[in-house]
Amino acid sequence: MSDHLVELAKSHLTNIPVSLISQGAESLIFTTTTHPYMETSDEGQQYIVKFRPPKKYRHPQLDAQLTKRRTLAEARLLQRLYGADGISVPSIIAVDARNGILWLEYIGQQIENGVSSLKNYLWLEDSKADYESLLRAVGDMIARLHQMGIVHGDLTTSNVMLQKHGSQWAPCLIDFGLGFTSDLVEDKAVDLYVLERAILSTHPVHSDNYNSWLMEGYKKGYGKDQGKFKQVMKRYEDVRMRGRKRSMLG
Amino acid sequence: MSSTRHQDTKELPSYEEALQEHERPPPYTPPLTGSIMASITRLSRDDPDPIYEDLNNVVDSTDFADVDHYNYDVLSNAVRDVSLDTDGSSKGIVTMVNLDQYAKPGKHTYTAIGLEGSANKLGVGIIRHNLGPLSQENRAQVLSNVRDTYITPPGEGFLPRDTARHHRNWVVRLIKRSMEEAGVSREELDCICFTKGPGMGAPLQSVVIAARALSQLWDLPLIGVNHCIGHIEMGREITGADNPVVLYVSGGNTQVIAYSNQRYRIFGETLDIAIGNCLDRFARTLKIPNYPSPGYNIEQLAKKGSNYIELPYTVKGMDLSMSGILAYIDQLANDLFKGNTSNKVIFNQETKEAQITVEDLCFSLQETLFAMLVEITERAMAHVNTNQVLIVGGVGCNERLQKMMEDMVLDRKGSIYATDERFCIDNGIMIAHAGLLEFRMGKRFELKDTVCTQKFRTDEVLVSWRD
Amino acid sequence: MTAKRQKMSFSCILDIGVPFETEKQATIAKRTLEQDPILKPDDLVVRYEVNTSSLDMHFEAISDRVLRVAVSSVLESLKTVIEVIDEFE
Repeated sequence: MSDHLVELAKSHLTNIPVSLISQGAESLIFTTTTHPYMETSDEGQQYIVKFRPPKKYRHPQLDAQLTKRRTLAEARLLQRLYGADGISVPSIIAVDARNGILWLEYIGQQIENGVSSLKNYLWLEDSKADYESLLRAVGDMIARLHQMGIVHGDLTTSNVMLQKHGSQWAPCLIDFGLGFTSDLVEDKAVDLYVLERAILSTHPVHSDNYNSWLMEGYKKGYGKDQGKFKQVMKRYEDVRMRGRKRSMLG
Repeated sequence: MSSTRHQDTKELPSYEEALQEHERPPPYTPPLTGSIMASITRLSRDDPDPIYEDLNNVVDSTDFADVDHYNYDVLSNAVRDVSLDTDGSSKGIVTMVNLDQYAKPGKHTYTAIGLEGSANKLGVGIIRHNLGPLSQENRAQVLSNVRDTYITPPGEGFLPRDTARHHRNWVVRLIKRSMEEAGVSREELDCICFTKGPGMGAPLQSVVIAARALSQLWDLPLIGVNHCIGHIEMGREITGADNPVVLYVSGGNTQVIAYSNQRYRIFGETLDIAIGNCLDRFARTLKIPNYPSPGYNIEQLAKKGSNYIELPYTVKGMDLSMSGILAYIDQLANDLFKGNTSNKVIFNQETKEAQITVEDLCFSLQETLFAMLVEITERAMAHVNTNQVLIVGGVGCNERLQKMMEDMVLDRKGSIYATDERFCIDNGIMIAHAGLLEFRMGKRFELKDTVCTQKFRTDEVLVSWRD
Repeated sequence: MTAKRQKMSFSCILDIGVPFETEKQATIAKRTLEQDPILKPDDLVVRYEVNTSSLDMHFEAISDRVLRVAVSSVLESLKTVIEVIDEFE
């Protein structure tokens, strides 16, 4: 991980002790015990600081625009989704859109192979008893998201964090930087297609099971509104078909 | 260099003239991957910039390899011992696949000829492997690698029928030249490899006909190769990247690929048109020459652009979409040409003068498209925990793309690997190389299995030669 | 599509014989050409046969146009085969 990016983040966060926990594709994730504007009552309380560093490879204009747009989009969507029925997302504490900084509730914990993302959890073993119920819960949550007219835009197993509720794992959706509001079936269908492809490439051995559990959960998430579900499914098949028709040329 | 170009476009050269101008490709230089380079060396080209005024120059179909020589360099700068590890199967210990279980007793090498013609390039190459696993110490030898590109007039794309005719006209001559350059006799060959797909139907078929006839004539087995696998395996062999995330960018494909469990898995790809197709089509809108390639000419124009115009930016997870961007920038270009002064992006509303040039459009298009490509590549890298990137495919020659990728990889303290145009652009040697790997694993194609297919996904191929 | 209807609709028929030097050559040509499937078998039937050193091709099509396209395409491929034999035998 690049030190100059960490330094840059710290320069935006004067007098706030942060420690880097991971470098994603577009952001650095830090933890801190400092709340941006309230006295911290609980000593052990941790927060997430998510920093989207400038990307040297992008044209500065494009970079500034993307950073601001995505940071704001994420903040707005998290704000709208927090507390929504059947949806779990980290709560948002503070935003600095120009510098690409979000202050979020701390989500997840460490497991044997890293943070408790769904990806890492699924990579742990060939099959665990709760894989099926977890994937169904994720599908259900995505359905609720779509019913609210929100598209995640980057559904992968890395972007689902797991949290312990008692002895049970429960999913929590993160990373809404590519998210947007839309009620088009096309957008929802592509959202699902992106997830299906992520499962296929990341978890190839059990992808059939995983995808069918997700879709069953997704169907259930629509509750009585099965008409909407069918519309999305119909378009989803179209999107997949387009995928297969592609790669005509070498 | 420029003397090999036909500025006078009215007279197309005869075959003999064209042949004489086919210089031998530059000698094969072993790449510099053995050591870790302290700094990154830029790829450079000494070809003169085609200027925009050359707009109406119709150019002929000579070999791209003759006009365009790149310094051969491999970009590499840091850690090499990263293992890409998906699906939880930890592979700390490497067990070697035995590539020699079908070796003929007494023979120390394998030699294969490869025929490629899936799009507008016809390529023939001959490769040699020694016994034993391929490594930095035991590299594949490129014995010959010749190519001829079918070039269409500005504003026109290549049609399957005409492209097939071009391939039929040249295929036997290229095979002959490839054998001569390699100094290889038919007795030394072990197999004949051809592109089975994906690609355009008629051109693919025109080449496999030659492969089938040759295979019966010389009594050699046929190996059908997936074009994309050819690019990936050749890229790995040339650069020494052992387990990279692969960005495959060409006229027909845009994919982000990583290896796991004996398949090259597609992590991200275009949801509509391919990057090369997008650039080619914009070149047609601009009516700039298709020679040496439309994308190359856009790249040269982009170097002179400086105003960045905001274009749609459409990344969806690890996938991307480009048709909307193309439609938008086509419209800008058409407004510019037509002098539609009501377009506020292009024309200053007070003076009614154009504030944007064609060069600016090319610049903005490249900046936007390549930023999207680099972004999805970085996503895939973060997703599978690796920091090696290999760029393959014709668009991979683009210096700006390489530079952007390098900037991204540096921030991740990783390594970037790219090849020059001999291996980036479609060629026969990569088909020979990937085919020979399959051959060494015992794969053979009956004649009835040699029917080409336009659709052939990268992840359909079982990569038996890797563990 | 029943055999009867097919037979009735295949009104355009052409036989072409191409002499080769040897039976082996003619066989190579046959086996090279006969692999690629006919896209519309309801519109076109092509049969290849080797008789001593001659490659006999039999075309049946539903229209002149289909016949013309098919013959032209097969002859183009045949030219490649012959060129390969000429150069590399």
